[in-house]
Amino acid sequence: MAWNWKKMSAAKKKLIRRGAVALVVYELLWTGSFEWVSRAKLEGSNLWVPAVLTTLPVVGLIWILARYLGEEADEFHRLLVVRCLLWGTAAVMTSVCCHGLLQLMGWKGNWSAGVELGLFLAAALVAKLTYKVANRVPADADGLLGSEGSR
Amino acid sequence: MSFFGTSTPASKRYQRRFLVTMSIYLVVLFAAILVVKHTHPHGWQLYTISVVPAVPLLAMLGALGVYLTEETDEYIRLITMRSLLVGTAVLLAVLVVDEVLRSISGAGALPPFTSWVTFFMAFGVAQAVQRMRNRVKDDA
Repeated sequence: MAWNWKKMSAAKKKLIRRGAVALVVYELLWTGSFEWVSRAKLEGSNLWVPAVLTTLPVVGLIWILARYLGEEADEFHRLLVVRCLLWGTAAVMTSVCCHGLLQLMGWKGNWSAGVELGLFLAAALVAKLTYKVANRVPADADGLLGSEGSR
Repeated sequence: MSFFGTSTPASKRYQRRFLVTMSIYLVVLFAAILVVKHTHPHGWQLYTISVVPAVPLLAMLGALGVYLTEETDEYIRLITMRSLLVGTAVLLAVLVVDEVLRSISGAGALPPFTSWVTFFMAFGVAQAVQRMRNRVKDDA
């Protein structure tokens, strides 16, 4: 399965670039929030500030996906991304459902931090790879090479 | 005017599948709670029971995926895709806030099923807002 940058559509390249930036910002904000809280000894409602700040790149990631759906001319690739999004959401929902039910049944534990976002990304990636393999036809590994390939 | 605001053949099939899976989910959920209440399972049995109600939930999202494939009206599909994005964004935002609060202070654990309800509410509100914004006189 060739992962050829040159043959990708312009919209997909933008998606990957923007997505990478969003994930790096998320990591920085996550680490920064911990540092800030431990140094400034934040308490009470002040804790909401780092919590909401860390959320911004995650919402940004979804906005980036929305922009990609607007920019991508290839209907098949658009549908593929939506399917991956559905799988990611399904993984998160399953995790949340199990967690909620376990709590309701008296379980006192908690998932580790980052599990849900990790599950979302992992499920979306697995779905993407699976669909790619399932729909593979010769010379179509990374999109429509001739007509709408590298713009 | 249908329950979900659209009446294409694909959306009718989606509504049917959604209602069926929702009913199954509610039955399975209450059955799981009853089983736990009366048999007091521990360890892997408890984990297995907690996974079972997630199956109809997955089927619900599967129905949404099938609908997106079957729907021939490009505009309605776009509205559904956007709503799905909004629902996912709100769901992830709520979960990340909860995770950060839990990690840095040990507080902030959401009540069970908040995220699930949040997703479908955000999905529904996004659909309603888009429909209202795009309303034309003859469409009322």
